Amino acid sequence: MSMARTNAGGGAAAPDRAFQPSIGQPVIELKGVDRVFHSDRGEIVALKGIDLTVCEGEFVTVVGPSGCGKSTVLNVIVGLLDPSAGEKFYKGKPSRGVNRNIGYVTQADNLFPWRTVIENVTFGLEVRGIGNRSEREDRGRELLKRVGLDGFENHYRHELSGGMRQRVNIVRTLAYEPEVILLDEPFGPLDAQTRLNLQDLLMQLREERPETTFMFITHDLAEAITLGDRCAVMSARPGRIREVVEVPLGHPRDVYTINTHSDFRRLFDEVWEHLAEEMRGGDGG
Amino acid sequence: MNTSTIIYWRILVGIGLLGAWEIFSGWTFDSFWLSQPSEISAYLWKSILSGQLLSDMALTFQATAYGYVLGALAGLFIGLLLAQSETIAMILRPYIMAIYGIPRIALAPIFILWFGIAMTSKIMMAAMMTFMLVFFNTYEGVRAADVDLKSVARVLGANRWQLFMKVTLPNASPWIIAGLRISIPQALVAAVVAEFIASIGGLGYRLMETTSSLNTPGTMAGILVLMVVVMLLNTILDRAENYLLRWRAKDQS
Repeated sequence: MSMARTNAGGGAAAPDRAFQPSIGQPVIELKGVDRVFHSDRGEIVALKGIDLTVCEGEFVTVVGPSGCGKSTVLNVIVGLLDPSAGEKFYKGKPSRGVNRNIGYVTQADNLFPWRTVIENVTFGLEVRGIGNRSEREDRGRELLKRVGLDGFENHYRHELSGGMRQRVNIVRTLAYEPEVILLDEPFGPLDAQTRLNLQDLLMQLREERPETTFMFITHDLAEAITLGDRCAVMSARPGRIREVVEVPLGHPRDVYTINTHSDFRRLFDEVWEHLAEEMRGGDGG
Repeated sequence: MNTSTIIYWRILVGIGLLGAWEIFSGWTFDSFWLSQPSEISAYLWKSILSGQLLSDMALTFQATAYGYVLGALAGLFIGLLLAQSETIAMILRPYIMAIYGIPRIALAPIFILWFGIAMTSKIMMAAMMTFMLVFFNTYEGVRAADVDLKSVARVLGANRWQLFMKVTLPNASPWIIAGLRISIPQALVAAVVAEFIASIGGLGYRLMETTSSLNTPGTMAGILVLMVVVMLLNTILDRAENYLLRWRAKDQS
């Protein structure tokens, strides 16, 4: 991995970086959103009364017991699923259908196997007609370099490891700079070091694109606290937002050392208590 | 074993088989039934010199090629069209299955009746054979398209046309290419079968003619020529398929 940065290993509040996120107007608003799935064996209520507001420039992490509908929330927000009930707004306006301003890094890499790495990465720019071919490829190459994949531009999916595929998947969304980026356990198949490097990349991107809004699902509580300005804890199924914990760890954050911050442990325990209760409660108590 | 040893042994096995055929034919059984490699090559040489082999091949290949192009275009077009609509697909499903169930060679006599004994009936047989295989593969390939990949493409900003051109088609391409590939030898077989039944020339006609005049070297020569042609076609098509689908893993991992 070669992710150049100015102050790797610096303190939790590095002096040469004066970044402070500027939280703007609400971008994503869910009001009383339900989502029901129908199958041959009956109805499954995946989401029940989701209320959530995410503002411009914010980084919200989402944790919750497995099967609580975390991915369903993202599918509803991006517009691949419509809410069964409730309201959904994007920048204050009701929205339906796929929202092209929202990027979505799915849990499975979902790379196009017939396209090379660089062709995957430039897909979003290509279909949007942004730049010419060589400009798009320059942009893709630059981002690939930042995730340590320079030299793999012309590889196909089957020639990459699981971790490499997922990095390409992330870069594919970053490349066209959507206003909102949703990430669904994006670092799942990655080793610990690569994971840290990519967390760091996300933090750098926040500084470079302060108006970009992030929503990040993870099952790793430490990751949720490291990255988030707020951490939403979901209940067991049917999923709703149980609690939103503020994470006032300041900015800029150094993902390599933030866990030594004096408040880190307290925040971790707070989120963990909510989560443990949901897991103990089992069927949504 | 390295490649050159394998090739060496291959040639040896070939010579052995031909030699055994040559020796045993006329000794342990009557060469009338199976002929002999020496007689067959003599016949082949003769028909090359007289130009008959070439003109037969030209007729058959022409019918195959026209029929193939016609059938492939129609199969692709209709396959892509029908796969677009779930409702149409549901309505037509039993009929498509029924048509698929027809033993296609059984259509040859009626094709002669409809299209005459000249080139047209052979073209139509080859076209029909190709159409069936290309149509089904295209149809199934498009319908098997990966839903998640389509969703991802929509989120990335693809419109309907881009979704079709950049996701659905390439996703179906292994099926489509397989259909285009297996139907080439099949189109050749269809043209030859039509020539068996009624025609005025071609490799199939020559096979029939030599057999009915008890000319086994001629029949064997005809079979040999068809065998070599199909083998060559398959080799070329293998190469083409490997190149076009180079994005797929060699061994499924």
